[in-house]
Amino acid sequence: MNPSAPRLELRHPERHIWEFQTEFGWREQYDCVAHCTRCGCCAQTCPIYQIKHQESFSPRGRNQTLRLVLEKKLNLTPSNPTLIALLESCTLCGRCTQACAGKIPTAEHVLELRRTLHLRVLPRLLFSFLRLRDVRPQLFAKLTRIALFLRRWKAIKLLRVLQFTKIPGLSWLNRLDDMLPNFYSSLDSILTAEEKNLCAVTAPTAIYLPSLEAEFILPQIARRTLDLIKKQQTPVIWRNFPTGLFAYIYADVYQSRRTLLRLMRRHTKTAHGKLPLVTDSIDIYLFLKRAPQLFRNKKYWQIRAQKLADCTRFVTDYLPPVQNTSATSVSGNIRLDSGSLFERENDILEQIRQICYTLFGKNFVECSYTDADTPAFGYAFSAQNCAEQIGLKTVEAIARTQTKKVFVLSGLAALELNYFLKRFYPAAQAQHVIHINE
Amino acid sequence: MHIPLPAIQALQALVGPQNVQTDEVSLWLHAYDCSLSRMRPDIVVHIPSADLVAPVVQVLNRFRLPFVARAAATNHAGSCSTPLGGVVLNLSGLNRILQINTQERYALVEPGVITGQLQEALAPLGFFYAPDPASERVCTLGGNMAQNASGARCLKYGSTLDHILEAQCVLPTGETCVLSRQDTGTDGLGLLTGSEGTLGIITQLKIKILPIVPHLKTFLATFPSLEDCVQTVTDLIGKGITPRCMEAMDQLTAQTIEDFAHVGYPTDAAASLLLELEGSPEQIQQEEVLFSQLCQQNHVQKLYPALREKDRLKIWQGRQTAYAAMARLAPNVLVCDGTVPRSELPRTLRKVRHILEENQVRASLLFHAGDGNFHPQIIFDERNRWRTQQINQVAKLILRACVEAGGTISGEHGIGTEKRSSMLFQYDTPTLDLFSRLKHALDPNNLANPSKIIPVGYREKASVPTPIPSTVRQLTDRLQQLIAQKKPFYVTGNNSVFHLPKEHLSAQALDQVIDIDRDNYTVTAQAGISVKQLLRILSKQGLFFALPPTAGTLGGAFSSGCFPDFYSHVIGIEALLPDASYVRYGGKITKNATGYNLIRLFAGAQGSLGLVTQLTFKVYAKPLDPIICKPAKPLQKTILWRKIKEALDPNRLFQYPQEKPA
Repeated sequence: MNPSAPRLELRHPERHIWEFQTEFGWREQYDCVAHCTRCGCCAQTCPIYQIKHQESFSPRGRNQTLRLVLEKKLNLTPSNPTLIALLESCTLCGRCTQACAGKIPTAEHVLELRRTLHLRVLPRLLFSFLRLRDVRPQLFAKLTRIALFLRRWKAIKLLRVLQFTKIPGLSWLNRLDDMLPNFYSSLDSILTAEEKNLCAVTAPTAIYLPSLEAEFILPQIARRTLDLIKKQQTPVIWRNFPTGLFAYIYADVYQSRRTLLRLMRRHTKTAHGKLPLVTDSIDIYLFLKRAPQLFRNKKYWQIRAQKLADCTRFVTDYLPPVQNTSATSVSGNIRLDSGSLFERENDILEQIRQICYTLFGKNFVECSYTDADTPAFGYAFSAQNCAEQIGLKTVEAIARTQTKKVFVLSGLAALELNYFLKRFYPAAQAQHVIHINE
Repeated sequence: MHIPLPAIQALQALVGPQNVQTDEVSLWLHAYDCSLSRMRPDIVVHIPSADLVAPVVQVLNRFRLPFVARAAATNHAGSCSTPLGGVVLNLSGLNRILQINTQERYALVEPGVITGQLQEALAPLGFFYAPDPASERVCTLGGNMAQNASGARCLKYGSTLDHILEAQCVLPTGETCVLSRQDTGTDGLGLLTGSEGTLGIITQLKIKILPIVPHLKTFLATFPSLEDCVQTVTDLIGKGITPRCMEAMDQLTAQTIEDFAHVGYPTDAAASLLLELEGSPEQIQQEEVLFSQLCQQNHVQKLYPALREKDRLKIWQGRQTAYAAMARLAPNVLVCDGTVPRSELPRTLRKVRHILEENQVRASLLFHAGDGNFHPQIIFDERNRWRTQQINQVAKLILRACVEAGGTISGEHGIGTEKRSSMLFQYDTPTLDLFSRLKHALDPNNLANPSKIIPVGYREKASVPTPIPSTVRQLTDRLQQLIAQKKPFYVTGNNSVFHLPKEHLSAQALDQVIDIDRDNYTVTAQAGISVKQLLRILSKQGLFFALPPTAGTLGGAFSSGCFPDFYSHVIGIEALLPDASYVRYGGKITKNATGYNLIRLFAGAQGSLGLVTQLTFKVYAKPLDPIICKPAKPLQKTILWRKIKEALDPNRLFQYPQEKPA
């Protein structure tokens, strides 16, 4: 680490990441942005730039902002609306990194700038509520169940009729209400009596870390995941531990690191930290894979984080092998969207792409680099206007290719995409990728 | 620069307050392009509609504010930077494809349309747009026109200039005009193409589209030396074959690409040639046989034909990732684009490699083998200021080596601010003076993209002008006499088209063929030589050129406006201006993006702007389709021509035909 390299904020170094894991090894923040040759390749892949066509909404602009800040040519002030729009508008999708020759982690840079400015991005109430999952998981679970119960009894509808959702800071309730499925079964009704008591398993062989949506909104994802894991490894234990992903994106690295440490300790306690951690959330998977970068200067913890990363599996690893027999039997086109944070090219995506080619043959439509695909994790609530336009563009691409089914790597992204499809192209439907060969 | 409040208010009233930005972040984010220059503007205006460009430019003229129009800002020469501060006009919002007419084979587009997106829209219709800059996925069509961009297909299809049919533009003073290929008189469209936004802002384009060629075949050949590689290309062109693309690279480049992309490039050969043939299957087969024979003659090591589409794409994927392969190695990549006559390529490349090694600079060396345009991609870290200065010096040495080899400092990237000082290597004072006068004629307030192209203080620094050839000397003396007498006159050749009655300044005495270059397939001839005589001389040599046997002279065919399709065959020009100064532009190079296109300035001008004394043009080993001869028409006095005429010939000594020939 170069001690003389310019840094963002020297007062609270524990709240930041100074070095990133890149395709070319560890690179310091300043080194990363210095590798931007300003060629503009990233801009044309950015869903936001495709809508706004302004430099301040392009990944190149975001990287250059960080560079200018590091070079002390620009002051970071929360009062500058352009700067705030620049940082809030990023979907963190990682398409820019995919297009970049130097593989600059623009999403990480945006997060760093947000952390320095203490930019919360999410509406206050929603932020406080979701943060409970990290700090008070049991309370969060109870409150969520109550909220879902109230919604079933039309409480949000009532709030909407009474125009409570027009109160500033509550408008996200409208979007949330529209997005959630109208009918959903509770997790309890989907799990068997044995599975309900999964935490008590004595000699587990795998740990299932469910996503937020699998745990509360789309229990069929949890059901399918458990079925898939059980085909290879039994018994499975269920752990709804927080991972620190939320804090990593919406708060600071310090908090995220603490949550991650807790997870590492718990993982170690269970069968000496050797069990695979299976998750159905691509965001959790990618976050845990990059966990070592949170402990760059703490060798011991970095090794532990690397071990955790090595144990992490995405649920598609458990998909049964497919044979090239059903390629012709599919009616309508099939599309694959990533819908994940940070990255748009990784082994998982490549693996599913291969499965899609085998299963659907010519019916498989790849998402082209100019198509906007579904942004993830709260973007729909933080930048509603942009999310709406990106969603429409995605639907346009789906309709253009006459796609009937879209597989998405994240359950939340599938939910959001379904919300748009329902409105503009009901012929298509989005599903989590684990349902691919059901 | 201080921007007065009324100017900001006027701009806000026109484009809306949300489209006018003056905050620090926005200004810094419009300070750069893909080059090393970083210069902050004082205000950023996002243009939401093409109709608003003219009123905005008028406001900027009223307040004398310099402006730079830009869209994707991906150029390598610093053309989008704002050295004087002022206003950035962001045109990237003008990104609609307005019409694709496959019947008449054109597309109507706004300047902010990404070239790659147009290709994607054309592909399902069975058409394509021929210019293919390597950055086509990110650059815009307006930017392509402003820089006269070209790519691998340039040898066969020509550069952007050859594919623009019509353009709506806003002149630096705020007037709008439509420039078209159909116009008679000075080729304003050609002059504006490659002017880097210094002569006007393009607001709409009508571009030529072509049907997709269904059959392609790609080859990868390796040679023991660069000479053998280039000789194969020359021999191939000598046989009358123009491949779709011909790209080449040296050993170090092939190694770097292979390390990065793993596309199967052989790393043990001194030179690798990537070649693509197109046409009917029979034609491809014939050409393939000929190509492999020529390869054998020139000591080819290995010749890999791409048998499957997958292999073909893999070969080109390697070439396309060349920039990325370098960009991952260091924070910055400086891409030069010097161009030399094809025959000079091996010698120049060796010299460039020597320069690079001498200065311990790591760079890849790629070249468009057909047209002599090569791209050293130098990697460095701009944070190391000393090293950056050294790299800039190395780049200058490379550009000087290009000029010394009879080439140009820019084949496709343009000049901008980065290569401004290197213009002195290439042009003498009279030519730079003409550039400066052209700029002043169209932009008297020096507001449109100022401080670009023309070097600062060139009169003191420029090289001593090459003496006027003795054959032209007599004509110069006569011109000076006429200027002194203030006697208006006509410039004529054989006077076979307009049959002009008055005093003439005839170029008939200039009837020599200066040079026939069989290596580069170019001929340099004086303007007074008759076309028939020229055809006779060339046919004896087994060469063909674009003009049909007409009664007039070469200069007449070029200036009369009867053969507009001939302009794209002309690659070099020498001319006498109304003030008796002698200018030179171009040479034996098929690509040239250096300065204003003087060939197009004099083309079709009917002698109203000067006397063309010498032309260099392309010749071919096989007969061409005959060029259509259009009926002679009197000069069309476009706004562009009127302004230039006023600046170059204020006394109106150079007369021009006013009526149709009988």
